[in-house]
Amino acid sequence: MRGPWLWVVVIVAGVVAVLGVTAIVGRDDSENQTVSAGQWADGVCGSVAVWRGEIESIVDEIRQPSATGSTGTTEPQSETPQSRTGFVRTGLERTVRATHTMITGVENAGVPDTPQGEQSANAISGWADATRNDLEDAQDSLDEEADTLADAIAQLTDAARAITGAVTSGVKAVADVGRTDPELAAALRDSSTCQELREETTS
Amino acid sequence: MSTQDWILVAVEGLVVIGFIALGVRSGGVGLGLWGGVGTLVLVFVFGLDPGEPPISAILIIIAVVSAAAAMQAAGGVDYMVMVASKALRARPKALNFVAPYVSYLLTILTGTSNTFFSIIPVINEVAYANKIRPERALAGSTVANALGITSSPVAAAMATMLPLVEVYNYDLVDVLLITVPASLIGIFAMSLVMSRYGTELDADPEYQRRLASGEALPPAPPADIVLQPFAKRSVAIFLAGVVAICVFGFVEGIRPTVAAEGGGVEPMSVTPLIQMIMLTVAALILVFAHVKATDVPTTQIFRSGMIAMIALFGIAWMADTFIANNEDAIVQALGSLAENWPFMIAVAIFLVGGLTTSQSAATRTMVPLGLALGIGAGYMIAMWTAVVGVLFLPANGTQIAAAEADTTGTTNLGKRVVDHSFQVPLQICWVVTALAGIVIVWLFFGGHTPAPPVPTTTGP
Repeated sequence: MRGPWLWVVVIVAGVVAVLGVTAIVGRDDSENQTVSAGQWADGVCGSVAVWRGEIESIVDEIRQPSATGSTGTTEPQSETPQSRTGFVRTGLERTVRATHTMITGVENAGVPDTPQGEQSANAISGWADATRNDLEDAQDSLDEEADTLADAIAQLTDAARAITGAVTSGVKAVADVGRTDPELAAALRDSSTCQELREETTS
Repeated sequence: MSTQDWILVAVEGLVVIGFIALGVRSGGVGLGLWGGVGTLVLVFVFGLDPGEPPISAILIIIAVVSAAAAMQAAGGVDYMVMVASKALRARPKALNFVAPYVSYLLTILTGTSNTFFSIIPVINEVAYANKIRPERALAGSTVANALGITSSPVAAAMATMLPLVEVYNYDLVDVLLITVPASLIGIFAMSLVMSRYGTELDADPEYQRRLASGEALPPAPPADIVLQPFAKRSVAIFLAGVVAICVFGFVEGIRPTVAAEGGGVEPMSVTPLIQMIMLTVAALILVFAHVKATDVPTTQIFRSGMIAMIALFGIAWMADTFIANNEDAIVQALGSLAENWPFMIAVAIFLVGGLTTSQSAATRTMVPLGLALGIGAGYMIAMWTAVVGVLFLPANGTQIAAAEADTTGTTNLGKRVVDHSFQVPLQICWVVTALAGIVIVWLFFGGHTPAPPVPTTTGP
């Protein structure tokens, strides 16, 4: 085992093994698959809870960058309104990404096997598509260079509005689904993941 | 992003790789100097905002090197070499196993890989004195040290990870029950490979060249070492400092508190504590081991530490300039890859870690995506260990310091950027650790995220 090419072969074989095993264990994506109401509720609440965890970590990092692992090397006296908005911009960009991930998770929850399951999945999917477009617009807006501080703040406000809109419309979409489909409403109420999420939210 | 934007990112990436390659060819201080030129090119030619120079890491290197150099001036390193050699007399090659586990433990206890700087010179000296190719122990220890982050309850990356998996009923203990045994297995496999890696020291052409040119002195057999009078005392002070860092790192409650930005107080972070304690250790060694302050900068540890610091300054600054301006693009590209092919998630975590040199960034961007793609939380924890990919490019402080400490030249930063001494142990370690973690989850955690009870439908 001396030649460099042998090492390359060994490493490639190892990485292929990881890919293979991941392909086997990662077959939980339920998008377009019929799942029980409980599984669907777990999927939705799990995605929302992960999103909530991400938002908490983003807020923590904006408040105290050094405590959460960033280098935190910027001296306080060198902070300017521009650097502060830059910080907020980074946080918003991460929030857009986190929200995008949450939408993917909610979509992947699948089609619940309830009388209105298909309809419910379509409603969620419709929300996901519309929200994705809004988030992409928000990301494009954040990518643009602002000429003035006022422009920068306006950009940040627009992005924050898009994120809030995505979350609000998501809550409404799930609530609507719950109203039209009593079985799903019960599943959302009884799922242990949803209960955990409720406990975290109220604590 | 448009095609033009992607091309620009690729060109900037090539510039970074090109300057790392130039720096590696120059070696020593040249690494940092070329990194500085690279930063200048990225800022002036490509119009990027300058990133953050690695000030915290540089300050830690200064503090740790001061303490280790004071200990060397007092003869403490010789004493440690003697003791370690005696302990390893029957099986000197056991160093290739012991050193990585010690490095791993240090990270677990402190939650940061920075404590590793303090034992790099000791590992190097013990290996060299026993005629073991230093690369074997140093490269393995550097990787094990970085892997310790995912096993540490006090690491920032763990703080990022926990809220993501807690909702799936995985608490800190569950995470550690997966990552710690998996890491122990991964480190063992890596050490096994590393104990046979490369030629023996006497047959290494670069080492022979250095010996002939006087760049490297022949190893002093441990039996020939003549102890200085206060050597033991300096070691005791140094080790007490390391223990103090571990205790403060592990037990948050005993750290001094500082004002928190959101109001109230919070425990001080470990980084300034390491700096304070190590500077104090250096001062105490001067006083109690009777070392002249003027002798400290003449030691080999001080020289290699300062070179490592300059090298890290330029290289890490250039890397951060590229990353800070392109992190979104990197994450977006690798996120799309995982979204289209979920089986790529572990590789995506590894690459995000490597290309952003941040374990926290890889955790916060890729783990939620994996969960959203329907991969079980237990499996995501197992694959999370792939954040050790931060060592993929030779732009990390511990890599540079380890390469600089090794005067034999066996531990190197490579000629083509990715062919550095840490690559083989890194690849072996992350692959075995991830696979072992997946098996552990499959065997002991029911294979999937703990299934909640199927709700009883009772109507609205």
